[in-house]
Amino acid sequence: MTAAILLAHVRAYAAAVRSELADLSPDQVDDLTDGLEADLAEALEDPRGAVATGEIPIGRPAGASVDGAAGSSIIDLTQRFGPAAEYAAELRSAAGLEPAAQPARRRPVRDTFAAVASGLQGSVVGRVRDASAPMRSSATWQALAAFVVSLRPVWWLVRGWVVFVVLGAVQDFLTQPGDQHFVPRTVAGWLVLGACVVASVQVGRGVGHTRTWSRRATAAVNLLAVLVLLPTLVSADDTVARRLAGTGAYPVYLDAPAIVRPENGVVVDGMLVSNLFVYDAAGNPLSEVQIFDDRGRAVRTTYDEGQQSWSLPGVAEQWSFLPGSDDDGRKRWNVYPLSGLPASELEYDALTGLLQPIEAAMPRTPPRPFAKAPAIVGSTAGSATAPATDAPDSPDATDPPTPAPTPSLPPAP
Amino acid sequence: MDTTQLLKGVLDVAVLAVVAGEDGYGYDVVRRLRAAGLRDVGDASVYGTLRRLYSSGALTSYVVPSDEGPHRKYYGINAQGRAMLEAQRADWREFAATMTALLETEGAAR
Repeated sequence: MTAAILLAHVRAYAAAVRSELADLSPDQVDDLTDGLEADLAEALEDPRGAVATGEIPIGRPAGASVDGAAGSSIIDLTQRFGPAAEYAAELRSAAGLEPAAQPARRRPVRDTFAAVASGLQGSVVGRVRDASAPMRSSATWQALAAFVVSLRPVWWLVRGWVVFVVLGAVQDFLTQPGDQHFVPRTVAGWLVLGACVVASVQVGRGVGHTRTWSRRATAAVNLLAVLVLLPTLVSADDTVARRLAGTGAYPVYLDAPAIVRPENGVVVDGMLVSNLFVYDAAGNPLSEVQIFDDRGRAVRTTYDEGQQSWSLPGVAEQWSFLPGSDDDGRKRWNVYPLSGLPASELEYDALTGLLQPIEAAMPRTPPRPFAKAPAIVGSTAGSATAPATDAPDSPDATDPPTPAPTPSLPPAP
Repeated sequence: MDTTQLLKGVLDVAVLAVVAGEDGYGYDVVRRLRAAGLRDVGDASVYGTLRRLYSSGALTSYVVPSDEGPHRKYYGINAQGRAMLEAQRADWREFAATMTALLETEGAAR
């Protein structure tokens, strides 16, 4: 074993120890490990090396059968000094520095919790580290890692901005609730944003990074910024969209419950009409009048096929309507006034689940708004002779005009 | 009894005592402690203790270059270190006497 090879191993072990102290400042690491190589090398070569801990001093091959050269040509310094991490931890604790992940011993409950947490964290981190070691050593990973590291300044800027937004939100909350500010509006705002960004970048560059509490504070701010970033971006996007909508320059789509307007039916004054009453020129009520539009389509007021019930003005019971029928037996729903039945004369058919008139039911015309309409000036006398052949009026027919009937379903918008 | 736990409490004064005898570098101090009978003392514990005593001003330090290998960092005691050693020596005597008395009495009572 040449001294050079031994020294190379010692250097490697010392480097591993230093890497375990990476959370300390360079000065502290230097202070802790200055001269470490010399001490390690001498410990290895000490023929009276520590036997108490069961190590095998290189200078004194263990076991008579082991040839000095062959036996010691395989050097594992962890056999002698233990894992570099433990060595570093011992060095650190003896030097009075806090362990990497364990808080000072002050509060038993917190200590226990922290110990469990750091143990969990340690084991998780360790496992992840072990499992990902092959991946992390690949060239692709190295390149990717270098790329991500090069993006760190971007994160510093974003972090500064997030802190600014959070500060703004807190200020709004304390003074008066207003719009969140994502971009400063005032000189003071710009100064605050500038201060946040400068502070974030300086922290990112490692200024004031030597103390444990400052590292923890940075970690906390990082965590907070990551958690707040996404909601902040969503909120900022919403705000921008709202402001754009305010300018009217861009179409904005809003999610709102759709108002379903009936596609069919007769509407008067915004209200669905359930029935039409037709009077001739002399003002006499007509019955069984078919109404078509200018394209020959049947004008229907109801599309419920008699299954819905309608509130009629001045009538306590709700009514459902029945169609007329033509010579071919087809149902005609444009024959006015529609005849119908009050709810008491309808029943649900057990088989079809549809409303059916009971056997004794007598379909009839619902109460008219008025018995007679004003005559049209210049009307021919002939119309006056038209007999009133409609179904018998209910007593309500003589009531004064009442508002248009309103359907119970669907409600008028 | 777990002597490593006991050792933790007295490592400072032990290291001070060794360095007070003669300046020494890291492993040299380890070797002298082990030779004195503290066989369980850990290398890194001694190195860390040396650094801490140095940081607290009880030790001086100087680097001695080596032709054939890495440089060695020597530690020597100063006035503050001697004062600390004296104080701790007195503490130890008192503590050891108390413990001895306690253990002897307990042993006699049994």
